[in-house]
Order: sequence, then structure tokens, then C-alpha cells
Amino acid sequence: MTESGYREGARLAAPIAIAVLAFGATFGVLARAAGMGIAAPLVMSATTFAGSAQFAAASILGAAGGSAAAIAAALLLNARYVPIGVSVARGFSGGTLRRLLGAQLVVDESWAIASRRNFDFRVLAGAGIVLYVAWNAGTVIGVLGGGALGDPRRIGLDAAFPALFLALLVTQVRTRRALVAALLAAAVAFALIPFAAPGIPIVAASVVCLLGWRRG
Amino acid sequence: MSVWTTVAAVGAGTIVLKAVGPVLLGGRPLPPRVAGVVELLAPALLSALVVSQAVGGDRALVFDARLLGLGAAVIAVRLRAPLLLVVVVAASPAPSRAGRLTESRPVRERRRKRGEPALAEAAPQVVA
Repeated sequence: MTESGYREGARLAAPIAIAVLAFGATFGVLARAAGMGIAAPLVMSATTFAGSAQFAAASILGAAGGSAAAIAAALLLNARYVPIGVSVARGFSGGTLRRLLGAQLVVDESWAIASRRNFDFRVLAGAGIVLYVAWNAGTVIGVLGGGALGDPRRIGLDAAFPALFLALLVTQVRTRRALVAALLAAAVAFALIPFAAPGIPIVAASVVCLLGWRRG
Repeated sequence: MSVWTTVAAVGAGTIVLKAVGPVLLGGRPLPPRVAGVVELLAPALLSALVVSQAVGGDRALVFDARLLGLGAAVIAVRLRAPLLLVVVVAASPAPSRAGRLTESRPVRERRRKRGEPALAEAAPQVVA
């Protein structure tokens, strides 16, 4: 009897789950410091389950950037799940509901685990469930613990957001083209900050993605 | 309320984006040009987020202690520190332990709305 695919996925995800738990706690703390309250970060982790986008939305709301910019930036970040979803779709089976729920378990980490060999849906689901639980448990810890940390200014949370996005950026810059896009986007944001309301420079900088159109 | 609008829209939008491939396209590939464009969205947005969170104010460039934190984060990232450590390292030089250089405008605004004193009044500045 070989190990079931679900169990294999869960086992492979376990070490990563610890990091995801800490990441979720970081989200809880920063979301609370950004003024999102207690319930909203919890609901967001349960429904969105995508770290970068959640941090982007929280940071823009925290900078008084308005919900339109926060929503646009978060969804543009999550647009990367369209090609990821396409790449794994052949491994999905069953009806629409099963596909819809399975698709929600796709995050960068579960996708990487399930794609090591031929993509296996059961490995994806096993890993995805473990990571989903870790992410939400972490958010609870962060949101509740965040209040105990007290004044966000004392722990320098202003500096935490740019550092966090830098660490996430490094994982996304894997090609020369991505590096060029990142540098151009930084320049666009820098140039627009003095003239546009908070949040707008971020969304506007996303136009540099059109560089990718050239490769036919 | 803008927080709940954001939570609802981002949640619903993300569910749809994740479902496009497995549910709607069912394995058909994206046009290569579209794939090329989408591939660059995450690096572009994250980079813009670094810049605007590091030096962004309300329609102003603000250079303050956040840059010290970001500098520490760059070193931590280069040393391949785990993400949580990067955040902690960045947050630690920023508090007013040695005196914040200036206070970023959004922070000042948020504090004013909460009825707290501005940093300059709360703690004397130690600017070398």
C-alpha cells in the first residue's frame, strides 16, 4: 500500500506550514496595525487565502489609500493565479464544485509541492488544506496578539511593510524581464507619489506589465 | 465601510481568478502574449509597493526611519533570512529608541485621528 496522495501532500506541506503560520501571524499584526480591526483580517484570510494580495490591501488601507486602490492592487497581484490555474487544470477531475474548491487551495507553496513530479491533484489538496489551516490559525494569533503588542509605532511597523514586500518581491523576480519590470515599476511609483493619492502610484505602476506583450 | 468593501471584493475576485483555469478554461492554455503580460504583474506591483511603503506620504515623498528599516531588510534578504525575520529586523531600527528622524505624514494623520499627540510632542527628537 503506498501513501495516499492527500497524505503525501499534507506531509510535504508540514514544514512549510510553520512558516505559513508565522506569515499569517505577521498579516494579523500588520492588518490590525493598519486599522482593519479584528474580524476583517480573519474573514479576509478565510476567503482570499493569498498572502501578498492581503498584505497589499492592508498596507494601502493603512496609508489611507482608499478601497478602490486596495482592491485593484490586490486583484492585479492575484492575477498570477490565472496562469498558475491554467497550468494545473489538466490534473483536476470531477464536477464544477470539486474543481472550484480545489482551485481555492492553489497558493504558490501548494502549487510548488504538487508540481514537483507530474502534477497530482490529491497532493495539491492535501498540501493546500494544511497550509489553509496554518494561514488562518496564524492570522488569529496575529490579530489577537497584535493588540497585546500595543502601539504599532513602538515596534516600527511602518518599516515592516516595505521590508515584507521586498522579501516577497525577491521570490517573484526569476527572469531578467521580471527584473526590468520591477525596476521600471519602482521608478513609476516614485515619480507619481508626489502627485497622486496614496495607492494610485501602485496601481499605475502595474502598466509596465505590458512589456510582456512583446514575447509572442 | 471601506475595510469591508475591500475584504468582500478582494475575496470574491480572488475566488474567481483562481477558478479561471480549472473551472472556466478546463486546461486550455492562455494566449502567449496574455501569459507574458500577467507574468510581470506580481513583480511590478510588489516593487511599486516597496517604494510607496518606504517613501510614500500623502502626495509627498517622505524620507524617514522607514529607510533604515528597509536597509536592514535588504541585508536580511541577501542573507536569505526567513520572511518573519526580515520583517522583525526591519521593524527594530525604526522605533523611536534612538529618535525617529521625522514622522511620515500618513502616520501623523492616523495618530491625529485617534486623538494621540504627534510624535514630536510625545517624545523629544534626538536628531544628530
